[in-house]
Amino acid sequence: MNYDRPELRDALASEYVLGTLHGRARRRFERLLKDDSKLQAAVDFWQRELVPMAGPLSVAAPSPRLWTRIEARVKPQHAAAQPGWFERWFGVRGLSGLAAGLVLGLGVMLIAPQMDRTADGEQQLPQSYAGFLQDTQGRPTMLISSLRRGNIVDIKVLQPIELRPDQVLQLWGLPKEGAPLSLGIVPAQGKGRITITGTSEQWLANVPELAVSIEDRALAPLPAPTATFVLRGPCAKFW
Amino acid sequence: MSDRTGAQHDVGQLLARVALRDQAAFKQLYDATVRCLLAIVTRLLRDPSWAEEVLQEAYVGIWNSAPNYSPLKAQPMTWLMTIARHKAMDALRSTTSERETVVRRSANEDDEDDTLTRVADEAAGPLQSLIERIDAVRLRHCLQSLDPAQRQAIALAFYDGLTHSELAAHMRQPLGTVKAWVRRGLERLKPCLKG
Repeated sequence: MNYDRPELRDALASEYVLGTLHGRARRRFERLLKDDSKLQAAVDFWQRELVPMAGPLSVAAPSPRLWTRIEARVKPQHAAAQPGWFERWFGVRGLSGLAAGLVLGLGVMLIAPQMDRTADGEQQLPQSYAGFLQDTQGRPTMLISSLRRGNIVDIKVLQPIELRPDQVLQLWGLPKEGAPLSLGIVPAQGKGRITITGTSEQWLANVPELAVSIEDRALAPLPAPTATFVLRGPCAKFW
Repeated sequence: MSDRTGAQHDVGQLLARVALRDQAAFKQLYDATVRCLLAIVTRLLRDPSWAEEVLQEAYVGIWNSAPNYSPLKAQPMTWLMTIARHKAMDALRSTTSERETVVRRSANEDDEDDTLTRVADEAAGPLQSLIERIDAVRLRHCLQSLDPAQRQAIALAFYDGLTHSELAAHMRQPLGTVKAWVRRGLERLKPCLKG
């Protein structure tokens, strides 16, 4: 079947959202939906326009037992069973010991080429800011680093983030108080660099957390996030 | 009914806080929306305990996906209802056990009135009153502009989750006829909704 015809796409998308597509046809449609952005757009339209039919529906509230079960499932994960040193740098988040070690190792590798030597010849990492961002499932996704007095921010993406062609990722510093600060556009995979005006100290000295949002390519970089954050994590001083 | 625009705005704000992992906001979001989402799921699944199970999945899904929600994509309440509906549809369409089909009988069982009259009678019933209470003006208007049979078929499919076969049994029509009512109805909705 040729799914390139817009009428067919629309017919399937509308019946999928309505609920009359079922069985094998439904499963096949969902498989196609994963990779087909035109099909996704058709489904987006029908979900946006048709689902408000359900607005007037209402019943009595369920038993409190339901909330108890939901709450138990979304509770934050317990602190990683990891040496206190890691937790001091990166706070309490559900990270396995192996993943934590791997991420730290990668973080060090990222800034290792710039190793300084102290007066007595010992190597030490130059004074830097390091950020470690996770996705909503707690998976390590992005490493950020910047020399304290530098104006370059290095980014390394640990697991690629899926974006539509019309989307970009924007990096934000979340200060202790006040609105998020835009640091710039970052890649969704591989490595990247942002050049900032001023030093990273000026940007990050009072920024305990970093976050990433998905924004419209045509509009970004934006002065304030329009979308909710897809990545988030602590930013720490490496000295 | 309370100010819907205000309520929508609150849901949007709560959702933004949920994305930032604010558990108190998540409870508030739950309290503000559970009656609607439970209604959607219960109407589709019929069984109250099955509905609660699926609703649990829906709210966990809302928690997990909140960071991916963009106000540019959809209204907050629409987004929540889509998730609840999708979970219920997944449950309904994946199950091998047949859900009991409730076949409503018209007031005049022995009446030999033609199909359209019978459908028109039903159209004056509860589903019609639901449609009249739809907030989205354009959607309401577009649904009202359909033929009664098309509107009825679409409403039964949407609200009660009837398959084509169940629609045929309920409306006492051949399978091909109800499929055509759904198809033509949706085809007519599209240009109307695009405005």
